[in-house]
Amino acid sequence: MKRAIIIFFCIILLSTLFMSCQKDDNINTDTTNYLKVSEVVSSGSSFNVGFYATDSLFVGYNKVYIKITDKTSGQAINQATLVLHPLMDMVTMKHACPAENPGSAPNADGYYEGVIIFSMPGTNSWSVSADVTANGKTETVNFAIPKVIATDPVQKIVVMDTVITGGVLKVTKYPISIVKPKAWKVGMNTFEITINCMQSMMAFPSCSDFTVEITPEMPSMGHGSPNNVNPVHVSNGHYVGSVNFTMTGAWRINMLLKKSDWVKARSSYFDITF
Amino acid sequence: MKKHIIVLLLVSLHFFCRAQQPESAEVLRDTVNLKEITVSGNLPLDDKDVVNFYRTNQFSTLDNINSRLDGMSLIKRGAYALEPQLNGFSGGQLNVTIDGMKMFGACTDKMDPVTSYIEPTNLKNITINQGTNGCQNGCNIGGSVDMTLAEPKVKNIRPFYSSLGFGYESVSRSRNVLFSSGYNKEKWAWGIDGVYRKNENYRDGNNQTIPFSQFEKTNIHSVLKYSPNEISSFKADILYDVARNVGYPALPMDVSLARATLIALEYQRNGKIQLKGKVYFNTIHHVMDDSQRDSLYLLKNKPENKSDSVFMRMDMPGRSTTLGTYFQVTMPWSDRNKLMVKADNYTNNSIAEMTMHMRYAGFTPESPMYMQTWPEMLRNVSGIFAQNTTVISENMSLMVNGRIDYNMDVLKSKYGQEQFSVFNYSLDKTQSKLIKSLNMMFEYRFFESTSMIATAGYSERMPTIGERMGFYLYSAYDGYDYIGNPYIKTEKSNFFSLAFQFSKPKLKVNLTQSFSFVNDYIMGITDTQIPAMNFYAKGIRVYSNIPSAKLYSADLQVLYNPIKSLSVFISSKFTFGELNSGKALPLIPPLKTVAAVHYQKDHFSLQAEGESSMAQNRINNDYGESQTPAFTVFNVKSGYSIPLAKTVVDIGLGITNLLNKAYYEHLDWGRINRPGRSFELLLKLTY
Repeated sequence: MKRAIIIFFCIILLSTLFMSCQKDDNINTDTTNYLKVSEVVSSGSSFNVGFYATDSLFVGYNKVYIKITDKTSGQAINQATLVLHPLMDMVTMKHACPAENPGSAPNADGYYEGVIIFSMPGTNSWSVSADVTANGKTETVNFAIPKVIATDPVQKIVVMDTVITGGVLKVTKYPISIVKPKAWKVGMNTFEITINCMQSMMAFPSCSDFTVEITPEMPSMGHGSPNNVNPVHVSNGHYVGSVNFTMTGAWRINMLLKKSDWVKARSSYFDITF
Repeated sequence: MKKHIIVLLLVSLHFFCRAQQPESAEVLRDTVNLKEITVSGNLPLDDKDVVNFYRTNQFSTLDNINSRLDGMSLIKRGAYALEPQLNGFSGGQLNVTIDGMKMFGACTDKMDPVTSYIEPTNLKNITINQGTNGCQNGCNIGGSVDMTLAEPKVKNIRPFYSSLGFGYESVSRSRNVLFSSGYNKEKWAWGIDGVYRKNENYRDGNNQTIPFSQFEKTNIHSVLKYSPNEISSFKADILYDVARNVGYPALPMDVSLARATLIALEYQRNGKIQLKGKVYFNTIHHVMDDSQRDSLYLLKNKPENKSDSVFMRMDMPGRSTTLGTYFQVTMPWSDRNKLMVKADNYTNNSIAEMTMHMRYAGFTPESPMYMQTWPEMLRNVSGIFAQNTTVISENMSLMVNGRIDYNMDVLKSKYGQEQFSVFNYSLDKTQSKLIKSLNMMFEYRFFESTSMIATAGYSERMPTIGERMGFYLYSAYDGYDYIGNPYIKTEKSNFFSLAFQFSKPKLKVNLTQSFSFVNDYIMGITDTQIPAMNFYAKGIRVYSNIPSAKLYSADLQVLYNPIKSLSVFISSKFTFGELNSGKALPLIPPLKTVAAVHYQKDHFSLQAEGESSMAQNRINNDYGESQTPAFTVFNVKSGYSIPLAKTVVDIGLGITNLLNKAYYEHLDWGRINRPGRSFELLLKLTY
């Protein structure tokens, strides 16, 4: 009997070994890797201004990082106003693209975070000039952008509205870009887009009066996904909703766009592959 | 011959009324007042005279035997791997174990029940417990099926014994090789047994070939036993089973590989206090794909003359690994009481994935579409079971048993949580539950020959991984995609059964009736909010708790031996199921009766059988059911043994479905006809 009890406890002890120990996933906050795109150090200026990105610049919504240092003291300047002016020089014509100016304070790493929504790819044809106001001085620096690449599938689409008034055809372009997510996953994805209005070759204000309806689908399978949330306007032309993907593969987010002053809705889509 | 008959009688006695089970002399001496009572069908597979009533041919798979066990029916999706259903309960409602060892199929579509990895030659016996009473190996509501692995003979007169059989079945050109062998020396004994089978597509009663009904399998089981003394033994089992190229005519996919490996170590001591301890490990790899199929297979409006316009291929591999242990002690603690305590723990890790590859002609292939149909989940269950048997008087005894299981589910991959965020769930990584079962069984013996056994019990059962975390599982039966419900409640059952047993040397009758009142019955409920995923799916069903369901079953078995050489066996089973809405429970078999007459004279035997099923008109249209007509089929088989010097040659000849009837049973998916007339030939050499 005694032996039986010993064996019994041995087995129970043994069985606790089989209760698998779970390794908890460590959430590592990656340190951002800033890549220098361009830097301006001119003899006449008071600042050294660096232009950084975290990845290749592409057609779409790019976060850009600007670092300003006082040329004489070598100290980073942590109070500045920046106005970004992206410009595409196509020789025969010039045009800008939408941009979002950084706030007056840098991020924890000392970079001013702005946004440029490049509208087309280009090699040595894009440039960004920045009006820097700090320490009571305003200077304009000009960055050459060596390369803006096209992505496949695209991160930015353009919806066009054509109106004929008095025999004059007027076409207005509305660039729509994906802000989030950067990487798609199976499950619920926060879906954030920006909508701008091309008023002229140089003016692209953000648009806040759109109603966006989304329908994700898998074109080759003909099915969609449940419980998607239509993006609604939050601020500065940013619309936030959510997109659910039930599997990896080639998806399409169909969008139906309505604007308060449009007669009819326009449709477009983003293709997503992951 | 005389001895043979006695064995048959003893064994059938054993099978009908385990209460009268002759126990070994030693146990009898110590427990003279104790008689174990369990209402369980116990089929000793090592006795071919009894097994004969349970199989249509002598080299059949386990499914063929299971289909005739008390209360058992089979859900059929193809010619291979039929899913056991006991009194209307199946899948996670049943506890299917191998000598108490837990094993779980790796297929999300229940195409690989545990019974498909076991062969009759691997087994010593099959024990069935109906209802909540089968909780010895885990809380469950529908019952338990426990299969005991074959053991080598210790201290056999012959140190070496062996048997080799060849079987051929004409309807599917089935070629079968069966072998078993053993060697023993002093305290050691070793045994090996196995099967190789290769079936081609079978032909039905209309002489039509049923495509995708082929399969090929190899099974091998080896066991080593060491007995240091009369009462103790150590045992090691290894079982390997691999099936390839298995067709499932009722489904849009086939199985290219279904492989199981099982390893078990056991210690047993049979003294006044009986001990049994086991450590085991098993792993199943199941690969399902549609590489042989037209991807428009199930589409009703399939374009004419177009075999495949979608060019989509789907791979659905699944893995299930279980590691477990148990230890049990049985001891008499007074003249009238016997207690058994069992503690067990097992950990199962399951994952099933799906990858679709789309390739339209002339286009570059799309990136693969991937999801986890069973997100990787680990389930750990620790349980304790106790059973006490009391002999109240000469003709009354009472058994009480209970069990508590602590269940813990851990989502191992983020995929599970992320996939379910699609349905607005924010899931915890772990979920645990305590589930319990309590049963009481009372036996009253009116006369020496007549007794009554009444059972009452309560049990819960854990939802399966598919019911909790299943992600777009297509069911070809009702045409819906099924989605799990992470917070689904346990299924609960109140069970009552009443059995009458009559046992005289010439006539034995067993009638069992059972009722299950199930609360929070788990089944799929249509959700119109979620769009379907497969282009051939009708919609989405989410596993949900139905307030209640009622099930009633009746089983009758009669064994009549008018003269020594003749025996008549009748087995009848009936199940009725109803949802709380008053609608029929889907997949309930109609009344089915098997009648067999067996004649044995010297070395010759002959058996004629009639297998008859009523029509099933009580159906549930919402779950893809349609009415099933009645049928009757006849089988004949004969055997002749030629004893040579040291070898016995057995020749068996048989015809199943003698009249070439085209028929299908109610639980056959896709209303695909069963095999037509088939000639069988068996040649077996026993040394």
